Amino acid sequence: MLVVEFYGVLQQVAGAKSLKLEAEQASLTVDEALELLRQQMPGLAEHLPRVACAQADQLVRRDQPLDPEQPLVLLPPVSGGCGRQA
Amino acid sequence: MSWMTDNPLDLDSLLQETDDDTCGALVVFAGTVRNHHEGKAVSGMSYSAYKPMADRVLRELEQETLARYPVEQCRIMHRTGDLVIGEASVLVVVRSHHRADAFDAARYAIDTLKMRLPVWKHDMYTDGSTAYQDGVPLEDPPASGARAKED
Repeated sequence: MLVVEFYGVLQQVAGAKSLKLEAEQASLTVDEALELLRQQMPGLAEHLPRVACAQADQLVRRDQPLDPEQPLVLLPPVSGGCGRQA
Repeated sequence: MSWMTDNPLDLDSLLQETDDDTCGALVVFAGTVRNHHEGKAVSGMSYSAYKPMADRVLRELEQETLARYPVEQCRIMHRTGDLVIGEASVLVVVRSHHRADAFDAARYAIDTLKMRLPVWKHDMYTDGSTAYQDGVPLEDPPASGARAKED
């Protein structure tokens, strides 16, 4: 089981801050986890291509294996600071 | 030292932290909440963040700015939570011996922050509707080396 956390618009789409992803394999890559997530929550599918993934305070690539002890954090496109033209 | 805060940003404390008698230039950039977005009237804004990564990104961006420009001091703080119109969402404070370097460094810091900081804006409009602003996708870390930093 892997915990997936949502931020920004993904919380709105998922209707939750996190969910538990059931997986048969003990170890998953980021890509494999996202595919399971897409099957479990099809509403997220259109957002996943632009999502970055992190564990703890580091970004992880799609081909990297996940640490099953840490939540997989999904980060949609960021909009910090101020307005685009400010 | 903190980088992300739920409390109103305190410019005076950043000015004290960066006080430096060798510097003849001080540049402060403040991003504030605007009352409109893409033609719609905005009543306020809520900022959320993935704090474990956001703190690291700002800490490293300060160091990167100091290494990249001949400036003596750089501090950045970003706000989270519900903000009203006119309230500061981000402060960048840079001090250098001469003004051109401070301007350049402050611009680099805010422009880079907007590409890297895991923060999201949720607009609240005067008509009662709300919407997350779209933004910039974070870049994947480099392929070489596991868990490499994204910058």
